[in-house]
Amino acid sequence: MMRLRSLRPAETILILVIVVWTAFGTWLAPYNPYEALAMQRLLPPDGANLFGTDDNGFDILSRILAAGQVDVGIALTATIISMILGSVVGLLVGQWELSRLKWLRAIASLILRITEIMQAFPVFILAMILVAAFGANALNLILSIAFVNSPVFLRLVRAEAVSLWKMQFAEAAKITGSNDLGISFRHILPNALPTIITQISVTIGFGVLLTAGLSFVGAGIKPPTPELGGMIAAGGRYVISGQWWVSVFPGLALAFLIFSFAYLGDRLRAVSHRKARASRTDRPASIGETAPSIRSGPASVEIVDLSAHFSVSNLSVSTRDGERLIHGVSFSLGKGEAISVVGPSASGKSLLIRTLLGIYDKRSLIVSGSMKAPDHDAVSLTGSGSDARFRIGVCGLVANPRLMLNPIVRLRSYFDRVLAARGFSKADVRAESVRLLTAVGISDAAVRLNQYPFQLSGGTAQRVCIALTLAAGAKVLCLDEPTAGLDVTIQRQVLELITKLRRDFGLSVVFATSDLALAGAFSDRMMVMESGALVEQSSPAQLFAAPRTATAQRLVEVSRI
Amino acid sequence: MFRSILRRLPVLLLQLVAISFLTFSIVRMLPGDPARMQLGPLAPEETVEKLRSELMLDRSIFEQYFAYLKKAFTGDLGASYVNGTQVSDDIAAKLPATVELLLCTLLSIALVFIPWSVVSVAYDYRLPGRVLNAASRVYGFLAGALPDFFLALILIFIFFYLLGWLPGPEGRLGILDIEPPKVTGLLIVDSLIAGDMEVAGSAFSHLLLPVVTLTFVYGAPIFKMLLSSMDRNWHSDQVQFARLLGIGRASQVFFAFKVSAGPTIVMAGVVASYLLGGAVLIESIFNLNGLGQYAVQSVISADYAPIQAFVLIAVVYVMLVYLIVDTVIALIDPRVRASR
Repeated sequence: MMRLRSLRPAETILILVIVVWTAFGTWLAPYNPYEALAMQRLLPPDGANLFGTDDNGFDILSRILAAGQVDVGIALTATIISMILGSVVGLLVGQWELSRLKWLRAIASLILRITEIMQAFPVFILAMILVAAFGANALNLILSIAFVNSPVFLRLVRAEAVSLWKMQFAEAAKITGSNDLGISFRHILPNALPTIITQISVTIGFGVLLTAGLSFVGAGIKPPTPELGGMIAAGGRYVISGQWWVSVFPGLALAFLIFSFAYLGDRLRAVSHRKARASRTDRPASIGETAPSIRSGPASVEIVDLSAHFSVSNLSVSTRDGERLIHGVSFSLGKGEAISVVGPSASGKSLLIRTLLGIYDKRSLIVSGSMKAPDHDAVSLTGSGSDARFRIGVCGLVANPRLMLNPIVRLRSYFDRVLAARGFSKADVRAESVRLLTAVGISDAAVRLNQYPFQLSGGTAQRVCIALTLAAGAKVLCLDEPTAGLDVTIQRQVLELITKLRRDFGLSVVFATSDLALAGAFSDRMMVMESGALVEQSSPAQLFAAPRTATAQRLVEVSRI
Repeated sequence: MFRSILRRLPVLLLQLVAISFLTFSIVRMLPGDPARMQLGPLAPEETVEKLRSELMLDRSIFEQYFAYLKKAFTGDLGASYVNGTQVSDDIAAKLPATVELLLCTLLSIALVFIPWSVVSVAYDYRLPGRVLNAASRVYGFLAGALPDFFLALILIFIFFYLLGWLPGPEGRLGILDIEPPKVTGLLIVDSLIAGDMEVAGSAFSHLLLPVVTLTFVYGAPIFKMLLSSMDRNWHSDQVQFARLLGIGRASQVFFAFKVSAGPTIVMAGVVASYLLGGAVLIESIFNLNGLGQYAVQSVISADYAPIQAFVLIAVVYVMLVYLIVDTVIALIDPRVRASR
């Protein structure tokens, strides 16, 4: 719920204006809003009539001030009724849906189906017919609007109730012997209340729009009662002859109301979302968000070797808030060599791979440093997209290969586009795609080409991704957790495949992993990261035998258990 | 896929019958005796009684409803007591105006907002992209506040009264324009078929303001959905991976758009069904003489048969929209095809 102190000053003013307008509008009116002066028809705005007069000689400002009560009053009453109606039925439906009795479940699903149908039907037309059927007056208008708006509350409360029923406190209350109905109203309703309240403002705004719209076509409040939609309709005729003020001022007033309620509703939702987020505890760490910042990072261990096959120098990553996530990482790599990146969780190894590939959230992270491949100039990593990496042949994939491919684009279109970008002729594309897929160990390559990524298993998707990086002409392959989520035999197969590709294609490989044993078995060198910095670099044999840093020592100890 | 849609048809049909029965009962609550209204206050009581039993007003609501449905299937939707005309004739005359308005609005929503969201998401580093980004915030602000019927009046005031660029709310054609021979009923299409460019231009300019109004108001939720899913997908791993593979920018946009299209089309379906409510207001303001305006007139004069027919058409329309949405989604998304 929005507390008063979370209101911005502008919002307080907005609410005050609406409250004063609605509650005291009639008293504030400079003229009697019900008194028409035939001598003063269609006067343009001036000092005496600030907003002019309409075709009956009513003072428009006074009418607008008095109309607030009518429009907001109808919408507010309708919203309260629909809220009560929707909440009660929603609670019951939520309770019945989980009932053991079959007929209660059937009633619940019937009610849900009916609300679905109602929501599919154009609301304005439904309300218009309801008002017409029962007669156009304020009460019927209120009831009709309440009726067409109630499914919103019903579905909200029902969803909330179903999820709350499954939570433990409902179980606990059940064990203590309360009956279901009691639990619904005493325990579930108060918990669903915040959700209901965030919807109120939006629904009032919608109610105002419906009231005005229905009155506009003559199926709502009828003159001489001051009502904004009716006033706009009355002035519509005069717009084409230039007496704009008759419609425009009520229209602006209506726009102000609708906008205010929509805006306040948005704010309410934002505030309650923020609260919900803040109260959620222990979110799993995700890339770049929770990696610890560096207070005094050690300097890079190695000087950059510019003659190397592939080298990275002084790579740093920080958030836009200035929090440093990776601190001056430099390393180099020979042709066909494999380097593994190891370290405790949240040490920045995944982020390192992501930065090397240019796959990170460019709106929240700032990257600096450069990268160089043989026969190519060094490319700056500052703010550059992935195009530069493609140019120098750096490619690869991050954890969860299934997220790397568009689920509904055929593999063939992928290969066609990637190979075409490298200048392959149409005739060669197919043979080359089959060759590459076969090279990564996919046997029925020709069939696979016609499939969509959503049809692939995790392991196959990974092989396809690797084949695509080969198709893109990668000389350096960067992988984040290439074995995560795969079972042990497949893990070995993937790493053996990578070893084979190093041999066959002269591919250099950088991969991050949390499995020290696999890293040792499949790389020539191991890099140890801690808090975003590179702290040690040595051969597997050396690292396992005599780790130089405390971090490496701990990792080795843990891997032995 | 088509089999799965066929399988859904009975459910749709059932929903259709349920809604039309519900509204049938509501409409029957309209004040006044339809038989008396049709014959006028001076008709003798026996004649009224005879018509009453002809209209089955003395039977149960279920019997009335099934009799109504049976007649509706043969194309007999009853007679308007206000004009004395056959409702089916009225509808045949007024349907094209509404179809034209709705089709043009949906077309213009697609033409305006698809390029807009693509450019403002995928080219946000260039000037046009940044301008459009700022424009979408202003638009979001305005579209949430301006009711369609008020916007229509403002547009008429500016473009007809002040500037004189476009015709006022005088209908689908000017007084001096001669209506082209009816082929599709859509005036722009028919006049183009007849080769009459002048009338086609006139029909277009008469349709411009109504379509702009509806596009402005009803495009907003579709645009919001497309913009947010484009934004999410554009920054997703899969598009960044495509970039890394050297796949061209146009293809990257296509990849992001393809996965954004699904939720947007669902939203477009919801909006399309609400659009009928918008047409009711806009047709009345611009005097387009379509179904919506017909419905308003019937509601105000409590004219039985036309209201019922309009509800029936609205129900069929909504079901049709949902059917089209399902079909289109199954066509573009192989996952949906596979899961059915």
